[in-house]
Amino acid sequence: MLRNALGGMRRSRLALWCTLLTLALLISWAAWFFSRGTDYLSISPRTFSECGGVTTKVHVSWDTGDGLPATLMVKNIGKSAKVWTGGKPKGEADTGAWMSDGTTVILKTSDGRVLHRRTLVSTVCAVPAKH
Amino acid sequence: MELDGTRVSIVREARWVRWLMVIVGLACIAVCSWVMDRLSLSVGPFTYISSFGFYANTLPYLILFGLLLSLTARFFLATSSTLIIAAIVAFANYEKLEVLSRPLSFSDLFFVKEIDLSVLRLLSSYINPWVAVGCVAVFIVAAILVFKHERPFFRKRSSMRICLAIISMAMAVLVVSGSSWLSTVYDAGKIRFVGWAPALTVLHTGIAATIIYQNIDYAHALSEAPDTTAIDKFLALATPKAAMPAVPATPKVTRPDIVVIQSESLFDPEILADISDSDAVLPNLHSAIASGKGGRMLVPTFGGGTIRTEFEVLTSIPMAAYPRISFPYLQIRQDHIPSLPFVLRKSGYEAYAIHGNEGSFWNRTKTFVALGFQHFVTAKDFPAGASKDGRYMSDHAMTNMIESVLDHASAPTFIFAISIEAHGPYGNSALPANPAARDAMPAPKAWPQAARDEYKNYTYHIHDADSELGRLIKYLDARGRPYILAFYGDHLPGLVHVYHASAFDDGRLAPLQQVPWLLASGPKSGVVQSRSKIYAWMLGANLLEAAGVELPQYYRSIRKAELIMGTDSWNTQSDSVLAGIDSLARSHLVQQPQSAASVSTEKEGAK
Repeated sequence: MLRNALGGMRRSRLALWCTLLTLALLISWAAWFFSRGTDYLSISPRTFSECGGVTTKVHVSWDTGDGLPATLMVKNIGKSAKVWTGGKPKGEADTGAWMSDGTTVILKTSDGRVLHRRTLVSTVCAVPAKH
Repeated sequence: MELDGTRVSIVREARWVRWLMVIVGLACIAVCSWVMDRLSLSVGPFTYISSFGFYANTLPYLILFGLLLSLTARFFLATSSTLIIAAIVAFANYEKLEVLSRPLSFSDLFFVKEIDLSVLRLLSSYINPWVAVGCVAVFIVAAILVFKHERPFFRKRSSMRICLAIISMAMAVLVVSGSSWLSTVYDAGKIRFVGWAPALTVLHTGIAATIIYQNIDYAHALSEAPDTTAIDKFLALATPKAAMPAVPATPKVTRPDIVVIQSESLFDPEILADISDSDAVLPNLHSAIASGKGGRMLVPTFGGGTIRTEFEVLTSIPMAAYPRISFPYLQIRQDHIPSLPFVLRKSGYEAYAIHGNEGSFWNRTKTFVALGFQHFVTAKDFPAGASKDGRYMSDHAMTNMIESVLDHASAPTFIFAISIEAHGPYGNSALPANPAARDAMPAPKAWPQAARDEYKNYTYHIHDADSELGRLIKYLDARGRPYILAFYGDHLPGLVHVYHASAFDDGRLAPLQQVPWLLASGPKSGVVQSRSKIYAWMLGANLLEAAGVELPQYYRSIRKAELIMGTDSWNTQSDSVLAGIDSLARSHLVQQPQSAASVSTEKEGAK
C-alpha cells in the first residue's frame, strides 16, 4: 500500500514538473511572440564565398521600430566597434567591400540600446582537385 | 502482483523520462555553450551554429557532462555544472579579447597548470579576487545542496553508470593527452583553422574545439624538422666584407661585466601618432641611444608573453622556428638549452638572473637552470624593505639588487635582470608610490579620460624605468670596471584605451610595432656598429661581440644574418636568411652540442 502510494506520488510529481516545464516554455514563447516589435536588421548576403576574396560588400536594411534614430556600427572580433552609418530610424545601405568573415553589424538606437546584431559568415573556397 | 506491476510501470516511465531528460540536457549544453561562446566573441548568438565546428565544440562539454553525471549521479547538477564551466570559459575569452585582442588559447592553460601565488596575484589584477572566491563558495554550497536533494539519476549498481564513466573517462584521457586519434575530428580543414588569425579559428569552431586542436598540435610542437636546403642556401650567401669579427677577442682578465635589463612593457610612446615627443618620459634612453648604439627591436609578442622575447634574447633561437610553441619555458622541457649564459660561462663569467617576483612564475626557476644560470635572485631574496611601486616590485629596488650583486662579484659577471614595475593593467586601481608625479605626466587633452588615465599610469612607470637606467649607467661608469649594458622592452603593453584613441606613426597596428633597444658600454669596452633595427634573437651575438667573447659557430651565423639583412630594412635576401636561421636554430636546440656538466668542467679548468 505504502509503496503504491509513494509510486503514485512520484508519478504525480513527475507529471507536475513536466506540466510546469511545458507551461514555462509556452509562456516564454508567447511573451516573446506578442512583445516583439517591428524593429529589424538584416544583411544580404549573410554568407559569402571566399573564392571571390576575403572581403565583400553587403546590403544592410534596418528599422528601430520605435522611431528613434538608428546608429549602425561594425565590429570585427577583438577590435572595438566603429560607427558606420545611421541617423534615420529606418533605412538601407550598402557597405564597402570591407566586410569579412566574422564582421558584425550592430543596430543601436540613439539612447544606446542594442537592438540586433548580424554577423557575416563565409564558406570555404574549395580548391578543385587536379586531374 | 499489483504492487509489482505498479513498480515495473514506474521504472518504465522513469526510464522513458530519463532518456528525454538526457536528450534535452545534451541539446541544452550544446546550444547554450555555443551561444555563450558567440557572446564572448560579440558576434550574433547563432553564428556558425550549423557548422562542423559546432559539433566539434560540443564534444568536450558532453564528455565533461558524462564524467560529472557518472560521478555524481545527479542530472541537474551535472548539467548546470557543465554550463557554468562553459560560462567561465566564455567569460575568460571575452576578457582576454578585450584586454589583449586575442582569444583564449591552449597556451593559457599553462597558467592553470603552473598556478601559484604569483599567478593568482596577476589574475587578481583583472578579476576581483573576493568576487571570484564568493562565486566559488556559492557554487560549492549550491552543488552540495543540489546533490543532497536531487534524486539519483541511476539505480544502485547501474551498469549504465559504469559504461558512461568508462566511455567519458577514456574520451577525457584522449582529449587531455592530445592524442593524434582525435585529429580525425579536430582536423585543420574540418574545423576551418586559420593560422594567421586565431580569432577566426575560434569563430569557426568555438573556444573548446580550438583549444583541443591546439593541444593536439602542441604535442608535436618541438618536432619541427630543420630544412637542410634552407640551411645550405643561407650558408651559401656571402658575408659582407669587414664585418666579422669587428672586435678582437678580449683577454679574459679584462672581460667587461655584462648587464642586460629586460624592461617590462617598455616602448617609446613617440611612435604614437598623437605623441610628438617623449623626451620628458624617456630622457636617459634617448640620450644613451643618441650617443651609443641602439634603435628598434622586433619582438615576437604583444601585450604579454614576456618569455617569448626573453627566450629569443637568451638563446638566439627565433620563436618563428617553432610556430607551435607559444610559451617556451613551459613547453620546452630539456635539461639543457643552449644559451647565452652557457657561452659566457665558458669565458669565465658568473651568470645571474634577477627578477622581483616569484621564481616559479612562467616556470623560470626550472628553466633558468636549463639555460645555465648559476644564481636566480627572486622576490624572496630582495631585502624586506625593498620598495614596490604600484602593484609590483619597483625598478629602483631591482637596480639596488643589481648594484649589490656587482659590488660583491669576484669574477666577470653576467646579469640578466627582468623588471616588473611597469606590468599592466594600467587603470587607476593600483595607486603608484608617487601619485602627484603620475598626475603630472603629460597626456593629449583630446583623448578620452580612460585613455589619458591609462597613458599617465603607464608613462609614470616607464619613466621610472628610464630613471633607473640613468642611475645604473652612472653607477657602472663610476665603478671603474669595463661593462656592457643592454636595455630593451620585452613587448608593447596592452593599452586598450590608448590604442583606440591614437594610431601609430607608421599606420600599422600595435602588435606590429617595435620596442627600443640600447647597447651601451663603459670607456674601456668596445661596442661595434650594428643595425639600428634588429630581431630580439640577434641581441645575444651583439652582446658577445661587444664583450670580446669569441662567437660560437651558431652565433657567427646569427651575426652573418644580421649583417646580410642590412642596416635598417628588409632586402631581397631576407627570406632566405630567415628560413636558414629558423632551420639552423632547430638543429641548434635539439642537437645540444655541449652539456651543462662540460661547461662547468671547462670553467673550472680555465680558473
